[in-house]
Amino acid sequence: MKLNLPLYLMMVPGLIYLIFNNYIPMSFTVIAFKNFNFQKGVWGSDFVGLSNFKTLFSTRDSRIIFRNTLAYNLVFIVVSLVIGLGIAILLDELRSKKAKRVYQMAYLIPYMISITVVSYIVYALLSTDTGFLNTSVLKTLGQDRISWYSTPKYWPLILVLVNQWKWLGYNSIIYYSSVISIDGSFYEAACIDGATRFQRIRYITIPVIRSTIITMTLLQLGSIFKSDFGLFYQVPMDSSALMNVTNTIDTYVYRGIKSVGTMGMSSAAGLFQSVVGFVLVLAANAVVRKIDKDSAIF
Amino acid sequence: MKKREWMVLLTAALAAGAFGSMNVFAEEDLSSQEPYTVRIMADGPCSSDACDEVAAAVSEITQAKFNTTVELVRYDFSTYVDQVQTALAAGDKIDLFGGVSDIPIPSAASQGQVLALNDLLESDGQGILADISQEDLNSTSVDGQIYAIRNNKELGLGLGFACNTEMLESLGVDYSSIMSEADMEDLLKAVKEKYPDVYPLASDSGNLGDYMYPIDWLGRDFGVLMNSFDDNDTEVVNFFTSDEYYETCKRRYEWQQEGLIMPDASINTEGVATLIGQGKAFCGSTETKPGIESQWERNTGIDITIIQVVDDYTMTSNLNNYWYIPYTSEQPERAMQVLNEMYTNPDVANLFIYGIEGKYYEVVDEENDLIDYPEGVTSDSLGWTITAWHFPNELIAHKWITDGADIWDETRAFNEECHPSQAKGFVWDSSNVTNEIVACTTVKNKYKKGLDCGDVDPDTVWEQMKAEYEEAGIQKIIDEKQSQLNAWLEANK
Repeated sequence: MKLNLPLYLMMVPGLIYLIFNNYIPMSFTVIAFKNFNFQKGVWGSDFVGLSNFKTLFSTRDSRIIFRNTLAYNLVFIVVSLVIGLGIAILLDELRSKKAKRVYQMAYLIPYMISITVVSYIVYALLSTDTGFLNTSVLKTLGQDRISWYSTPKYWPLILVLVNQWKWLGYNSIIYYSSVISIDGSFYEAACIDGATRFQRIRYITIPVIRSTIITMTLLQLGSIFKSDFGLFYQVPMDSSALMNVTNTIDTYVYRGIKSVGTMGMSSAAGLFQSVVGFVLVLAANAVVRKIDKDSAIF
Repeated sequence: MKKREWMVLLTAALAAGAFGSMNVFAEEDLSSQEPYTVRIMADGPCSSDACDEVAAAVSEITQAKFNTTVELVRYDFSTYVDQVQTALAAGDKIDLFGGVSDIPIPSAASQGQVLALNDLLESDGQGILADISQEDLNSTSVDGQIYAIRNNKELGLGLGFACNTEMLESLGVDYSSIMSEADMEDLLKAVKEKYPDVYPLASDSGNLGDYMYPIDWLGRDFGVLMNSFDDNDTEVVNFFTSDEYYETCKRRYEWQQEGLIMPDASINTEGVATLIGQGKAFCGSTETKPGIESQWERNTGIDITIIQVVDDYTMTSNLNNYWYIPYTSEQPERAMQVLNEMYTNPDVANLFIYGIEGKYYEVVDEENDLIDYPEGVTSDSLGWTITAWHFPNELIAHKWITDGADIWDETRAFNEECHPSQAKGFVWDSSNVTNEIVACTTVKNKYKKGLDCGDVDPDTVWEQMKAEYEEAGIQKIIDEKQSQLNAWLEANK
């Protein structure tokens, strides 16, 4: 205890921040069970039980919404793992320092572009009468124009691509930082034993950074019921024809609540997402602990 | 400085005198009240410098009268509602804010965001009470409690299309016989033929939601009366599954296929005024009212002709601009005093609407009270946006030169002549069916835009959509609304 006292002291500011920013506001989740009235305040408003949650499940759309949210997030997690890790390893294999920097910059730029701007870049590509794909690519190939914004079948692919394009730089940085911390002597030893590049990746890189991969995946599982609002609302330009493949919990809540919205309903949706995410993290962690105790977070 | 203050006092005293002897006594009392600042939030993009300048000028008047200073905050149209909602949720002090249709009265009242004004109107709002009819006060009430004060402006609407005059004249098509949306077809085809690069009909940032029927929306969610001109039509129906809506969608889908509506209309992000102004589009749908042509001409910068399809009528939902006193006001009676002043005092009205005389605008025609920008001044350089309709009483303010000297008289006449809907004055209280409305709104959002703009063939989705409305509980909303309406009709025979 005495030995670690300075370390505990260093923890204090962070703890205070967490208490005020994360723990105290938790008590306000009680709004989700109330018919919130501004004049009566958080504690004075009337309890209404689970009625606020009913709205979330009251349409036949709820099945589609949950399916979309879950399926997109699962695909995102897998794809971003594969591509992020792949890019990290490729970057590590590069010999030229200059080239490494240039590539890193290039991958990171999309991450810094606001999603609203991204939605217009996508629009410039896909617009029916002026879009690049219709006017240049499809025309040259002798194909008919496609009305992208009213054809749902293309959108799962488009959304995955856009999401990857935007996030791959960010994802790869974390993996890259683990990859470069691997002791070079492992690779040298493997080289001497005649391991090929792929064997080195398969038997050295991935096992060593396994715990990073697991932590990252667990964290993403925690937000599997949340979705990137900009990606699902702005990139498809809120096109009603695409709603079946672009509606997620967040966009549903926004669309439903912005017109008749009450504080209670918004809180109910947020609470639901958080609780499900929390349970998922616990469950996934339990599974990981069963298989490999050292890799689990707790 | 001293001299100016005296002048202000003198003006105030004169103004007070004009309101009759009863008020003079009240005036004396009020100017010795405790100092207080009334914080006002309003819609429309303005720089904070301009807001401060205007607030200071208003304060000179209110200071003398009520010992009250005024603080003014304005936000962009796109963020205003969010800003107000956030401020109210955070409990920030606001004394007055301008209501728009996205902050509807029943929901603001039932959530306790705003105060009931009955007693305040009696004690400090006599000027307002003298001018607004009981019928209109009922329209902004819930359960007999008045929650908002409607603005004095045009109180009805017609529907039609705003067209590029130059193109319209050059076509040589007789448009005087156009009585419905379907009649527009020949005109649009003629445009397509003569100007192949122009979109004959364009959407306004993805919206083409003016349906050419005299619908009484009964509070803007679900359940409408189809014909406001037929006093016997009291059956509440869901417009979005009606035959009329189907026809509109089918026709617009066909128009879209023939290139009479711009492609991707439902996701278009450009305003229709911009498209028409740049010559990219020929016409767009519009609500109509006195001065609508000059409003379009200001926004587009070109000559505009309005083809009116639906005659002027008025319903409860037309009272869509009003003022609230929110629950965060520390001294609501002081807020009401200022609101009363905004409503009755032309000097205050002019300040809020047009800004500072001589700097923001100048009088160009003393006799007709016409004003214009001073030379070299634009709304951008001032940082002040003129939103006459948003402030309590535009009818006592100056007139903008392009609107003409008679604009307010025309507006008053318009209000008299508008055909009142059979349900005018009925206020829909949706609190019993909130869940159903959220569910139905989701269904509506899913289909409406695509169908409105002709991007989606109604035949492919109609049955599915109807089924989804049923499942979302549309019938419960309609039944609830019908029974409320019947009770209201019974009470107001």
